[in-house]
Amino acid sequence: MTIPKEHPGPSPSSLGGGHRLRLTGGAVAALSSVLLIVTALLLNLNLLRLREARGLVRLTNEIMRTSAEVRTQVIKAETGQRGFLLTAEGRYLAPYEEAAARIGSDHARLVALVLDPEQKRRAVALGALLDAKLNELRQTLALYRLDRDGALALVRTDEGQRLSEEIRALLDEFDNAERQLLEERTDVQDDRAEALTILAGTTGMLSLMSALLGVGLIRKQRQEEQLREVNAGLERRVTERTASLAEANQELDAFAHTVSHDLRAPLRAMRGYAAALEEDFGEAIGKEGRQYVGRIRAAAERMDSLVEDILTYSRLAREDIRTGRVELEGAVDAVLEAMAPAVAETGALVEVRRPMPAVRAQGAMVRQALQNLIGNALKFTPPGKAPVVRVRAETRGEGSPVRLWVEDEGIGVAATHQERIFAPFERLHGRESYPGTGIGLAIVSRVTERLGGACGVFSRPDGGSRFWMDLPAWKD
Amino acid sequence: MEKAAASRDDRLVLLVEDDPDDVILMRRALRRLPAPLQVEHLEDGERAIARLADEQKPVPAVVLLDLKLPRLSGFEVLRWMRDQPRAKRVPVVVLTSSALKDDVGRAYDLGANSYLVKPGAPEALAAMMADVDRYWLTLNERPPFVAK
Repeated sequence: MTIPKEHPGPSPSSLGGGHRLRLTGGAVAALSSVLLIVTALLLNLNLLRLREARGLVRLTNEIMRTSAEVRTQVIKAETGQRGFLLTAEGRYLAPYEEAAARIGSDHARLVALVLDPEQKRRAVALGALLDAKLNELRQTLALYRLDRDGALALVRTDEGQRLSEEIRALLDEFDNAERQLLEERTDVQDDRAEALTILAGTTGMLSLMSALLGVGLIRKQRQEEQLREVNAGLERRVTERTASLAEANQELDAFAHTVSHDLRAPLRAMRGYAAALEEDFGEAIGKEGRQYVGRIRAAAERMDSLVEDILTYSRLAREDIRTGRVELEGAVDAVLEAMAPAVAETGALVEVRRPMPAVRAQGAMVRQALQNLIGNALKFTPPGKAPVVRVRAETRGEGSPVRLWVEDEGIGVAATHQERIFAPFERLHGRESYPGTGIGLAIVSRVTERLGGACGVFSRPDGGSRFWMDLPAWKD
Repeated sequence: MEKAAASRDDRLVLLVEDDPDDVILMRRALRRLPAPLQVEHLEDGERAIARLADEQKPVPAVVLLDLKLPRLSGFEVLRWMRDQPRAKRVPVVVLTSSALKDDVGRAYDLGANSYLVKPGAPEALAAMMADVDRYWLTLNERPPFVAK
């Protein structure tokens, strides 16, 4: 049996791939953590910005509330002054005095709160107007106590009215500007927050994706590692199996060897003693005794050739085959030369048709098969008739095997037996008429089978046999 | 006997063989040669080595050595012989039933001079013994004897 001795390890490319994959998996995992950190930083920054924006909104609200307060106080002061001027009732002076006392501090707070330079300017301008207004109110009230009509006349100059309108207009302007400022500021903050959110979202997503990718790659790498391990295990098992098969083969060899030699030793002794008996005591045992001794010898010889044939047959199943170019003509010549005594003894007429093609085979095996085929052709002839044997070969087109024919004019084989005769130990005739072990054609069959060919027979009783053997043609 | 201490017997065959039937039949074949040979038989490897190591006894002209032997194999006997000054040059003809390639190669590696397979037919055995006599004890140039 041919056992491949090579155990191919994991191919270099797959190893390199695994290595690369491992690096990529690690890199992707590192990238994902970097992205995660960036995401966290961006979100933090975003939170800071939001807090800042909230602070700005609170500040604006405070400013607006303060400006509304100033407006209320101005109205309150004016309302109190008017009421007193119209009714001369002292109770109207209370709101006036209350408002006049508060306006200063409210205004100061407004100036302190305002950050924008334009608003600062407006707040300062408002301060001047408020002073003027309070001044006007105070003057009219002071005048009223001296000269009632004069005070009313002063009111009618619309100086107070004008101042109030200016104050209202300036406050409106201030409020609008403040509102717009807030809007602008929050818009910017909104834009920044939005951008940051998008950025954070994107990096978060990227980090998630790369984390997933990294996990996938790492898992894939693990799977590949597992696969490699499984493969290595399989290879190991194949190696072990191969080794145990080789061992079993060796055991079989040892067994065949033992059978061959231990069975043959007693046969050798039987044959030796029978010969010694015949030679040394032949006279004493008489003719019948010598016949019996002859039978013992023949039986031992038969057993010996049986052992030999069984060994040959079993060796054919296990032997390593190395095929090469075999010249059929040379093989036929070699076999005929070895069989020359048998050919001479039977007076056979052997014809070899030349030339013959070359085949892809193992020389010794081809010769073994040929020897059995030609031996059969010489053996299976009717008694008293000299065998006629023809050996020829034919090539039947490109790619077809070479067919070698061994034809005889002997006793032939009935169609019903034609398949059976290729099985081991099948015999069709008594040993007395045609001796043999019944393994010859089984050897032919096994040889052709192992060389990638086939064999068969065309025959009919008393019409001769045409045995054929197909072997792969030799191609240069 | 005193002279024997440093001698070689040119008609002595040392037969190292454990199968008594083979011994009887080989002895018979050697006895029936035109010029009979001296045969000394040893049935295992240990005895063969002891015999060859005995300086009181003559060195044989040839050793017929079986490989499958009890106690010490023919290979071990061969290896031992090739290390001994007295036995180093004694021709060794392996005569065994195995023709395994490994055995044949190993025997030659260890210094066997010839490798024969015991024939099945008695006539073939007689012919083989005659050939051994003719070749190794007659035709073959004897190696110079080394006493020590």
